[in-house]
Amino acid sequence: MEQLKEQDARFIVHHEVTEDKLLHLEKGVRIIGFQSRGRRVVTALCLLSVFTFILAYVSDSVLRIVSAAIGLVSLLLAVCCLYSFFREWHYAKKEIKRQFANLAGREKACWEYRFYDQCYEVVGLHELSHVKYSYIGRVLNLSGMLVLVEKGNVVRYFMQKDLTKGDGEGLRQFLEKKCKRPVETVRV
Amino acid sequence: MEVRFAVKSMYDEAMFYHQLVASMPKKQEVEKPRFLLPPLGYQELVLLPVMLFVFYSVFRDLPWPERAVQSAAAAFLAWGILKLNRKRQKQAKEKKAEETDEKAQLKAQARALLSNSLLDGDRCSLEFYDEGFQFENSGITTWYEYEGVAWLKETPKYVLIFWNRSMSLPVEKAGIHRGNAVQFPAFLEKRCGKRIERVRVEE
Repeated sequence: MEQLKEQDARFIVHHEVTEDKLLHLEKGVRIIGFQSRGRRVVTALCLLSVFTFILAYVSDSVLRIVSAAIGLVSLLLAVCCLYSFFREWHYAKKEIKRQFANLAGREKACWEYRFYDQCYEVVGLHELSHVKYSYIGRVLNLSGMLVLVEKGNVVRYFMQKDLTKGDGEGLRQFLEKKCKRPVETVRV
Repeated sequence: MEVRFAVKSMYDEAMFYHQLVASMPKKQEVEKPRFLLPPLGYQELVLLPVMLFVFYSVFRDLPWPERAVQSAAAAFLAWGILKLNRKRQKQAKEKKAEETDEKAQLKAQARALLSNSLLDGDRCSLEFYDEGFQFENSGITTWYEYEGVAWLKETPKYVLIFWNRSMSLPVEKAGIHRGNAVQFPAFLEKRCGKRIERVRVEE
């Protein structure tokens, strides 16, 4: 398989894996996960607790006690959900730092992404890939980091400032056009 | 470049399941204590006296000190054998339940990964040359050099080429349509300079 001509590329990214980038990506993925599922659960529990506390306030005797109890339990569950989210995020950060500490002194992993009209090329140390834009399932913008989620659960990510040819906004529009889907923006 | 081996596979649950099992770290054997006093439960409190009584009744022809000692020894021996047998059966049952539970979890995980990959039913192919190997499916073509292979594992159905901790390329043994499938593992070991680790997978 031959490498495509570098001068024909519309955009070129030189991406080096760093601890900060991994932490940024991990945070973004967790926020997306929380927004898709966790937020609904926590919101529902908080609303339930507010509703039951109001009910407890306006009612009396048994209903007051039951409502207050339900409200308290719902609030505690919501707190537990949030605690679990932050705890998992803390352990993930710790694991990333530990892995990077183990890799200290070794050569950093780096890739070059070259975006052409027909496909994009991924050049790694011992690998070379040509990927069709139709193979991309999702494109995310995590506050300056572009993430391409390919079919097969492969994730490619890089910072917009890693671009050595072209600009971030131009790349974003190019990807929207080629992948035929909007870039999802998530604040990290 | 001459193709030494060519493989065709299909993305399915079995592929992801084998990858998951092969990716799991080895279970560390828990060191069992060499000597442990058996716990006394209600079974011991009931069974032991019953056995003692039974053997005492059987040895009725012996003088009472000898009768007591022999019946006690026989009762303890019989009780010990029964207890050991019960313990083994219980451990086998617990291990089987644990394995079934773990297997069910991994199968569910494999189904979820297959569903999220959006590749269910898609086909892929691998071609192996002397210099490297090429992977291709409907959306991606990748050339890999053997130097980049991290480690190799083999399950009953697949040979798994681990590129890094989180990515593996499964080679379906039944899908090898070019080259001698029997010689494939040895070829891979030689090119990658790595030994293939055999992994047991329960279907």
